[in-house]
Amino acid sequence: MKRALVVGAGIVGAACAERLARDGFVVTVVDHRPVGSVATGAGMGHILVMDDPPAEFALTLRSRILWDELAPSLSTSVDHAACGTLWVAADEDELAEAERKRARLAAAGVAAELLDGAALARLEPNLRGGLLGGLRLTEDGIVYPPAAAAWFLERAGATHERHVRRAPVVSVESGRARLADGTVLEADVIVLAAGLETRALVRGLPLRARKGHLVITDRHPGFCRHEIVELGYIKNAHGAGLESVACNVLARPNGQVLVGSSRQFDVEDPAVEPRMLAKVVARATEFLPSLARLRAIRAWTGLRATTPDGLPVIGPVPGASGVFVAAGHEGLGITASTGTAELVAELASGRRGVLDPAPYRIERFQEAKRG
Amino acid sequence: MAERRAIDVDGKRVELDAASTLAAALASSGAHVLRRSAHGEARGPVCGMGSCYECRCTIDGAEQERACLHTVASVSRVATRGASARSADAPPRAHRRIACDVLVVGAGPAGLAAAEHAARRGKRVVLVDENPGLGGQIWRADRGPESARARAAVSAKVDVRTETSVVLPLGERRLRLASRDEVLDVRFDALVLATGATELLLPFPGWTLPNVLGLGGLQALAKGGLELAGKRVVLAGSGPLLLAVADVVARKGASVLAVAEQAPRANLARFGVALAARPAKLAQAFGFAGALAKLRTSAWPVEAVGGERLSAIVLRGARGLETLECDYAGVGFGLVPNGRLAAALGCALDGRRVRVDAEQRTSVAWIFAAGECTGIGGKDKARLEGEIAGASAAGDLEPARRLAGARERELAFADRIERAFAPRAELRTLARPETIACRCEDVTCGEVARATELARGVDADVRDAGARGGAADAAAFAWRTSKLQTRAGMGACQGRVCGPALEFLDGRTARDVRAPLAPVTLDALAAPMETPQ
Repeated sequence: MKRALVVGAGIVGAACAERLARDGFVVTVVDHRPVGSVATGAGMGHILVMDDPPAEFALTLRSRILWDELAPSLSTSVDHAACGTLWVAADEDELAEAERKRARLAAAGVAAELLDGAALARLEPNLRGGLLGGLRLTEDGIVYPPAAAAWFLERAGATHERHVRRAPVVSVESGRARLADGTVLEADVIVLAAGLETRALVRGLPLRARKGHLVITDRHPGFCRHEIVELGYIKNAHGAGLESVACNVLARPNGQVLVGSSRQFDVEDPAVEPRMLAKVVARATEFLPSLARLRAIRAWTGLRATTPDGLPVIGPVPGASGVFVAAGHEGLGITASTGTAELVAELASGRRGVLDPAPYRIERFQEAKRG
Repeated sequence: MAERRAIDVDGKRVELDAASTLAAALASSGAHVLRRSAHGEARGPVCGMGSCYECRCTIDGAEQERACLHTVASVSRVATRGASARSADAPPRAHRRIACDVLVVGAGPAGLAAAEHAARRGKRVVLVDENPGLGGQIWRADRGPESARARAAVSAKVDVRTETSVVLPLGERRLRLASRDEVLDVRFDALVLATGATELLLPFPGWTLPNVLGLGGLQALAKGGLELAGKRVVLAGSGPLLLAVADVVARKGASVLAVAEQAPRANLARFGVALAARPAKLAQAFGFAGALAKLRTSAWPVEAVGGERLSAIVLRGARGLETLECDYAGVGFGLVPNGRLAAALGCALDGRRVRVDAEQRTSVAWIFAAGECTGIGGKDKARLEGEIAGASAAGDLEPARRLAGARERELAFADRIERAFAPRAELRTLARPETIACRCEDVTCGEVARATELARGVDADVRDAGARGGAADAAAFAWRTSKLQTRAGMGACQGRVCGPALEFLDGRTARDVRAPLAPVTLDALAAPMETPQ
């Protein structure tokens, strides 16, 4: 019987566990923290197709297809819903970007609807007046991430052979991982999916923390229907600035509204910073003025694991046969967990699949250094 | 005769007593259901003091407001049961910055004493409380804005701000407050926390029915104007509050059918005086002789029965099971120190008590704490600690020395209460798997238990960690797991109710207090953070 060991019980690790179990592996998952409690528990839970750069487009699109395949079997606690994404344009540049996005999506066969200002106002009446238009992707969705991670783990344990161990992993080599308590776990395949903590296990893995703040409100049913994102988000998310905020507002199916977002490089202190909170809320309120009247019940932060080129690292660890890394998904870990898991399972069994693994390999950073 | 005020309730004109709290007045008018829960259950007021969030409705266009914190006199329009009546055109709140020497949070006996004793030493003092009137729960006014006794406890020098919540820590010696009209960033030298206590409310079948309230909640509503004449009331739970509430509701004309104290008679006897031999002494101590006739010990509620509201309560006691038809039930199993703000500001806790030294100083040098939040001991302890804390915060350590002996006696009394009224183990078995544990998110006790089962490998390791001495860590791990997986503790009350309940039931312990420290409309978070002055 083939054994797999997954380090990390966040959504990426859990999805990998589930996918490897489907391939017949007996899977053990190791984490010293509660299931889905780190970046997974801090995210909004969006399932979002990002159309640029091409490797991110391929991964997120494939992932969304896989999520849709899973949807009928997800437990109700996962709270999966197809809320759709509304990219909002505040100026002519952003409107032009909306059209470019539409064209890129259309070229890959993804339907997206270009809206004018009036159509935007009809769809989301709480948006401020004067917006020029937007782009609507109806098939994007939302899940409740910690429950999704638990659901993946539950499925991975369908054989009753699942173990989740609570211990930090201190070192990994081909075929074995050593835990802090001295235990050595052996496995044919080892997947390192511990988010930022993966840094300690893979030499030269260039992950940096990018802190984000979120606020959630009490239940205000009907406030908004889509995930509402300003097109300026793309500039902010992919820009190299040390600190940025962008309007990103998403209603959970129960009527609670998630209000984001911020990005701060290299801040690893998880404390909520009132200054950043103020900037996040002020920015979101510029787009949705009546948000100011909703009742905030909780704010928190999370650390996204980012890479220098913004793409995750998925693939074999050089020099350690049978050891794979799956980390660095920044703000797209929930979305990309399914595609990542599929790719890892294909690499582990030597199959060729839908995604070209080349853009995600860790070697791209060494090559860049040598070049 | 009391002044009446006509307000709009769900589109109908209703005349209510102007001096009553909105929660009490609505109940008196027959509106027992104020909201629908996540799964559509009927819910009404429970705690009566702003901590359970069950009485949320839309008040003058603001959604999710707590009816218990408003007086009818200041309200024009109410929408209950999730009717959307949000108005977008509320005037923006002013954002101001002020400075003072001592900020006191909580205007019960401890906070009032702290504010007054700091002010007497020439300090500029600001005193804030979420409730509309001074006095806290113990000196809550009998129908009216506040009792003369509470008002007399502080001089005019103290800058009193009621209906004001602490919403954000802004770093050392700074807090953001919010009231209906303004957002206030306060800079101070010392902070006194007099945040009181909440009731331990334990899940049992039917406990979420409207008209099943906490003991303190029933008392707050009764004093807040709830009409009880001719109403049948059952009181159950534990502690001195049980008889005190019996007294209050009986004076309002209610017919008290039973007072069920879960502790055995022997414990009560050990507490203070020999109760069995001298019941009159206890009756005198708590001011209510009639309640003793209805008192049964080693008795507790096992079920509340009803449809859209309570119709009967089932008690278990010496006579076995007994079903009592009633209109209201007050059920509470003692008080739990409220150390949320202290924890959020980094103060060390011992269990749920805020840890303080003889000067009432917490583990954070500029923060003091006094009253029930440092341990449940009643108003004498609260006033004494408030005096010490106010003086210490003003830099005068003489009262801490002078009152040290009295303080020790009060602390010993607090320990005796805790032991005498410790909830019995049977109370852990009342809830069924389908009984709600988290009232905000409608999470059942069974779902909470299964969430840990789900990560059963983890759970096993949690037990190991407990055995190895990492019990606190394991308890926090278990809480975090069930919170993430079921959303228990993630709703409006942020675990204020289910946190202590689950801790009693299975040991899992909430230690994460997140900003904002009170639910607040988002504009209060958006106000910029520039350095004051």
